[in-house]
Amino acid sequence: MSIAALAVIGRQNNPLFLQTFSSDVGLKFHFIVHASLDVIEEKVKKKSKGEKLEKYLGLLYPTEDFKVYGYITNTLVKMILVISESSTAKDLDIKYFFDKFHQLFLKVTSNPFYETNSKIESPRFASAVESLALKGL
Amino acid sequence: CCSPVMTTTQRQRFVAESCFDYLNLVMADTIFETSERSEVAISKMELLGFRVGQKLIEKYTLDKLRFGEKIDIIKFICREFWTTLFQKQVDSLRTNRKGVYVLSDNKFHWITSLSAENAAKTKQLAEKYLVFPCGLIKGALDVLGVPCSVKAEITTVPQCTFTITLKPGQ
Repeated sequence: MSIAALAVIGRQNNPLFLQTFSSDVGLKFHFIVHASLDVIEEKVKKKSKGEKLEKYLGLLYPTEDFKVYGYITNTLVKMILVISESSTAKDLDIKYFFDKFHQLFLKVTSNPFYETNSKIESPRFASAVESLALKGL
Repeated sequence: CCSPVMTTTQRQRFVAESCFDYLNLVMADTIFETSERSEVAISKMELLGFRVGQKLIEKYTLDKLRFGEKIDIIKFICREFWTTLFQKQVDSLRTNRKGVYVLSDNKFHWITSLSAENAAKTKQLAEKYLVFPCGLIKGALDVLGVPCSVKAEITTVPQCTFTITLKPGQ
């Protein structure tokens, strides 16, 4: 099981959701996710003319034990995937994963009782994300 | 009224839209009737529209590539967003290039069927039904990263304009 952590960050870089799937201390992933926000900002600022602006941002940066991938929606919500360094997942698989993750996010935000840009506390979302993560890449 | 040659999907859509149209009118009426002052009603309705607009955009932009420029976002509102909500595109878009956009709709769906004794009275009564759409646009733009204020004006029912003023610093 190579997925170590998943995070959803709001428009003002506020954390909305963070789920870890590894035995490592959770704080380590908070740090990794926080650091990746700078990389995302850089990637998003780079606007080259005529290039199609994808939501999938690709590999953000590698660390010693992990690889960090990013994705940003049109509503400026960022999604971050942290997988173990040894994973052989291809770009296409990760892109596909993010699409599924985005759909789960859409479901939870469409709930009229969910306040946009607030912490996601839905247990249904958490368990759906867990099953998606356990399926692996 | 109900054409006998509709397909099932068309009929379902017709029923759904009619239900929504009536609900929308009653919602506006109720909020205005149960608020102490019209300003309170207006801010309530705008907030409602704002919240709904935010959530709708998440859905409508799910499969779209990211927007490049602000004008692309405004165009999206004028085309896809307007079509999904109001069954047609905005008829004209003007801008002063300094953060003000004016969207004109010659036959705004939500006020098309309203009528009172005369044109002036109709216009006065129809104004309250434009607050929610203003909120929708405001919420939609806010969540796309373009905070703004939106005001609507009726020329003669069913023609109206929505003026979007971007917050300074945009």
